[in-house]
Amino acid sequence: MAPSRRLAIAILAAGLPLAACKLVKNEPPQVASAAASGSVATSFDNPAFDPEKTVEEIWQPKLLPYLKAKAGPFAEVRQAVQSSPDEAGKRFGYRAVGSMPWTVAATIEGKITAADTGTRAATIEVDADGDGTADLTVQIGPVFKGTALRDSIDFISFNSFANQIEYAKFGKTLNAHIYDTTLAALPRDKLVGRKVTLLAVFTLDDPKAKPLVTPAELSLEAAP
Amino acid sequence: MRFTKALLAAGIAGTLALGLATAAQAADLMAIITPSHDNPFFKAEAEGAQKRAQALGYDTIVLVHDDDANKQMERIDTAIARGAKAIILDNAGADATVAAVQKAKAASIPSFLIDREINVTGVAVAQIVSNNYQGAQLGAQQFVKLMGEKGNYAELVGREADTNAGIRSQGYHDVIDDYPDLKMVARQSANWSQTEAFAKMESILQAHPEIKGVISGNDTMAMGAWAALTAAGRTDVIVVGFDGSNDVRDSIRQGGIKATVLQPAYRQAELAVEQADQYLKTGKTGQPEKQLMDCLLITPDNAGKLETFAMK
Repeated sequence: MAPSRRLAIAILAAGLPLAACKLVKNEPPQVASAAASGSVATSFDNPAFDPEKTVEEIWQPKLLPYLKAKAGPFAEVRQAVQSSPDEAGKRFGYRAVGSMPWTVAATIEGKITAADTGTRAATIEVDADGDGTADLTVQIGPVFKGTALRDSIDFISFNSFANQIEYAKFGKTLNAHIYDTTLAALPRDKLVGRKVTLLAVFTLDDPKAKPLVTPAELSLEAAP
Repeated sequence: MRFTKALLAAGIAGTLALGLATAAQAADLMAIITPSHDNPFFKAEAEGAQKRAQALGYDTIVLVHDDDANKQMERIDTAIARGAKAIILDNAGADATVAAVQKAKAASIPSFLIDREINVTGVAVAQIVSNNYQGAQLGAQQFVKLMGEKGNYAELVGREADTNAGIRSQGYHDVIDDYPDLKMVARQSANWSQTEAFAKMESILQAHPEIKGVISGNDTMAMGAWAALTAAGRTDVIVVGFDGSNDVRDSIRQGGIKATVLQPAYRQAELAVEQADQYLKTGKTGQPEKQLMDCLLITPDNAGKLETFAMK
């Protein structure tokens, strides 16, 4: 790892806990009816909780620089994961507690070999080493599995939320943000064969499996 | 059995008050308080905590609060009166419990919460909960697959004062609601209870005989629903639970209930005791207060490895 990147991590690690303080909410939880979006009401729906605002505030100034500082090139990350998930996690990722799997960040350049866009949990397959076979699966939404973006963040913890429900909504809102700002506009029927560049995260719940990544940034090379 | 004896002794101590216990005690005391052991989940938790505490050299008292906040306060009072050094608690409500944990804290007794969280931080030392959202999404993905992405279904929800009821429901719907051909025709709380679930399932079946699936917020309700479905000759209905109890494991292996989601309850209780021990010795746990533990989908493929809320 370049010294400059290490320095960047140190600066981020030192500065960010302060920034996270403003997330703590002291309002008592309120009972509310089902939200207008049609979601199911629970006893703990809290109308004062605004994850969109939080995500908007952190995405550009904090989250992207943080992930860029953490991320390694995909081949390097993959190799580290295969030799030791714990070492890979410490080097390229984060986990909030020892009882959870690591989530790591990687930069990826590759070619889209296949696209499964007939489902709302849409994905593309990407060949990152040029051998013609896919090395990872990229979630392109609108439905995403898991909360890898949330779980990669060391500067906002579960402690900052009233309960699991709000913490889950924060995770879902992060996924929705990358969809709304980037992935929704993808030409879904013209993806196969294109080159793609990504900053992405994935969770090492099964280190031997092909990574299922959630993008934080994605750009397509112009169509040929 | 040592476990039942401890429970009995605790009950007696609770009514006869202090005198009895204190004299005989050499080792430090850890109090373990959970909902009723009628649900094997809570029994496993209490056992996991008790065995780990004894292995670490503590005396234990095991108490139940039956999901009654007043009773919970009495149990906390008992722990305080008995001079417990730490409390391991699966609590009786996210809001109602705050005062009880606060009272223990005021008496300089740290609390380590398992399974259920409370809506504040800084009162308990640790809150270790299953990653219910992740687990519910696993269960829902399997449910969607089993349903063939279409059909009418019912949801049985847990006790609404418990955030776990809300978070699991949210995890289910964040997956299922994306399939427009899956229609929820009934959604009722059965308060985590097998008998209530049996009655609710009977009435849901009368109103919606066309029902094809039931997704349940825990395993005891799934067992109640399955009993009602079996009694009505409707073993074609797909049932998915949550917890990973031995009862549901056996049903899965016999082709009854189709899937559940394992919460690592036994390990969670052990972990809470280990953190309590470390806290008593060093003044900190080395972990943030709120901690998640991932869940695991249980299907016929891996059900054989499941035993008492842990994988063999």
